[in-house]
Amino acid sequence: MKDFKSLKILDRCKGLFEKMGIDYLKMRKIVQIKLLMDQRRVPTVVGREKKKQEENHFRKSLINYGITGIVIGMMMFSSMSLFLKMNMVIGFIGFMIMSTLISDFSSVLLDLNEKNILATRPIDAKTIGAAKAIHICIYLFMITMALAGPALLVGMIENGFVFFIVFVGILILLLGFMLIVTTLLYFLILKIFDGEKLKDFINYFQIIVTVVIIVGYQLIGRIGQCEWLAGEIIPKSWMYLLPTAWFASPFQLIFTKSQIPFYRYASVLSIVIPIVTLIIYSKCVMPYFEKYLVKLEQASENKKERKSIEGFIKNIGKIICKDSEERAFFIFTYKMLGNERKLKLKIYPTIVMGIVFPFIFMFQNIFEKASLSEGIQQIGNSKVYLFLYVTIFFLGNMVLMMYAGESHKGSWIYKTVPIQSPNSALKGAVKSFWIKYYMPSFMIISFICLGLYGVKILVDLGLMLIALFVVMLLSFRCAKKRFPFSQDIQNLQSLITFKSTCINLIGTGGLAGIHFIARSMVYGRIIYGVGIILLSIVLWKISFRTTWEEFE
Amino acid sequence: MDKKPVIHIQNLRKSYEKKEVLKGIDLLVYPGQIIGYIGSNGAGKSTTVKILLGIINEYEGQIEIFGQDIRKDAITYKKRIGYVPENGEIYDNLTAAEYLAFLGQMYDMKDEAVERKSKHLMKLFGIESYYNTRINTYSKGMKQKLLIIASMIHNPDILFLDEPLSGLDANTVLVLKEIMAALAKQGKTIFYSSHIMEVVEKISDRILLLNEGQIVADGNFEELKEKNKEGTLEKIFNELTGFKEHRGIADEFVTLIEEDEE
Repeated sequence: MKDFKSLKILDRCKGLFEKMGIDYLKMRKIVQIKLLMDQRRVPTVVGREKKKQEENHFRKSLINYGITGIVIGMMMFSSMSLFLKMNMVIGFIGFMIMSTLISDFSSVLLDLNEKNILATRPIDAKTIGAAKAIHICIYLFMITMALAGPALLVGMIENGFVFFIVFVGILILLLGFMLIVTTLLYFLILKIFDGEKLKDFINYFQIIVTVVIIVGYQLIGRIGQCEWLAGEIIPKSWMYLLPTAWFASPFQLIFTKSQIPFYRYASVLSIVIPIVTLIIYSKCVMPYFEKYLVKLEQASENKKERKSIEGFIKNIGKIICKDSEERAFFIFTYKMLGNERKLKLKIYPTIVMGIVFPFIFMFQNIFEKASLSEGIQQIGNSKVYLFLYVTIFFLGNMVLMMYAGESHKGSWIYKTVPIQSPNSALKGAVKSFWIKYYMPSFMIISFICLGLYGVKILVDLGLMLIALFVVMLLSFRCAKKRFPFSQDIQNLQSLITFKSTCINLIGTGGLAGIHFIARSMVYGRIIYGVGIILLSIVLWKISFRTTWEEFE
Repeated sequence: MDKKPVIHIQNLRKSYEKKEVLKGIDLLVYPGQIIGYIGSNGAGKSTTVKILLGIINEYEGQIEIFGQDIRKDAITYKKRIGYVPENGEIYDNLTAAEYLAFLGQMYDMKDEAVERKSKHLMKLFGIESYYNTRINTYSKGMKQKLLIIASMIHNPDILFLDEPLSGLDANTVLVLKEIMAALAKQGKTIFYSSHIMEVVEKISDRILLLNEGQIVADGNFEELKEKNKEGTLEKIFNELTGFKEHRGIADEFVTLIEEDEE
């Protein structure tokens, strides 16, 4: 079996462990297995899952974290004040660490298999505990080095060796704090709710992480050039609530010799709070954690049915679906979309990217302005909202994601029930996807745009909504037809084909061009509107003519 | 028998990339029969069942279910069949309520009827309090109970059960056996595949033994016993699948376990 460098380093402390009464060889073996499993788990930051089996996913994610680390390191060069800079650097590192703890390492923190596998073998609890602790330490060390390494290096070059030492100390406090907060969070959720809620929570956090990383990359580069962030910050008392402010204060205190009392008190907090949380954790949480952990595996009894939403969806189904089969698929797809965690992990970031990117393009010049309000004002006067076609491009082939699902093996059910026509099934599913994800996404953008531009763009928004519908149908048409949730989510990438992306791009580009030209003509938008409505009706009519033979 | 066959298979063949899995199966199944469908791993049991269910569409030969060629009309007959899959695959991030409601709609049942029926059925199995719980939190037995309910909710005339007892406690097993007997008495057909010979021996009134893609034995237990001069179905199974080395393999196994480490 593969041996790890970190374990060879650990071997030097063998005597120490044995003195503590730990069976070192067994512990080493357990840690080795755990590290091996880390390599095979596909982390959130890697995202794109490929078919290759023997890939080292952990190393890949480390490279990813390394790139993030370099970006963070570059922030150290910026002209911001030291306090603000350290706030942002520590905030970003802390967020990234917490996110890996929650999104990828949760399977380790919440490991139940361990009990089934290890507790039935002749290994004492102390050794198992030590193995778990060592494993977490190695994992955190590697990730922190990847994330904070470049920043440490830049800090040392710019501010000397003392800075490096202080930074390392702060990072250790930060890590401990994050680890305990994460576990506390799990504990609270498990105590109040049940295992399902915790899984939901982890899922939402994974979605947030994916989104923040995507958007963060776009923003960080631009923040550096931003003039209205360069000034000195005057600490306010609400800043005592910011964990990043505690951990950034010692730098201000030591390296700028600032006399403001805020920095002194906040520095004390940076040491006291991690210690206090550690005490709370070891006294009030650790002894009970195991007990609640069992909840993860238990089915909870009936939850209350949410009758109002239930009825709402059924009513919509009655209005927009022709026959009962279509309606059944409409409701089924709607429910599945709400519960498929892995699918949500793909869908939501796509939506957020679709919503955020046009605004990033629109706001391009806001950072060069003297103030935030001036920048916003300038946007309101321009016609850049046509950038919303970027959203249409991002969301266009999202509909194809409905073919994938975690429990795709359950799709035998379609074959054993008497489905009359694959088309009514597909119609129901597409309508469901439109209602569940497309409409709300577009609503959000519409509200933001209405806020920025006022009602004068209402007509354009309407036109773009129809354009989104057209592009969705174009993407849907050019892909192979399947039953919803019948493909392995691991192969999601192969469902969204190059062909569909091209068609999507051409469709979006074409419509955007026509819209742009139409705006400069007198009745342009009316002509465009009539045209695109007719187009969407025709497309809808011809999109659902699949025969069973073409259907897979 | 004077009744019409519900399943009529003629010369069914199926190959996966040149390897022939089914080598010509002929079978007539009549209403009211509980058929124990047995065979060693890879004998072609699941393939047969999957073809009958329409999960696999490509095959050679002729299959009629309820007197209709399933190639010509692949849909109508499905209103009258039910299936419990072997590995319990199910859309498990739905709740039982949602899953059963979806199935009911597929069978054109009224929503209220499905809800009333499924709640009551779940109650009979003692899992009614999990009606609105996501299936992926169920234990193995609970999931199996739900799959059984899901396969029968539309009152099918043919049931395909693949290892339906797996994960069920002894009491539920007893209940299910009674259910099967009662259904058969009403003229329903049950196609039962399993590896547990004792159960098949007891519940089936007709046993089909499949070996290397062919039916090598067909008859009730008494008939098989007479023909093969063996006392249990297990022995008959070993005999007909040509497996005689069990003692040798077991001895070697035990010797290896007991072997001293150097």
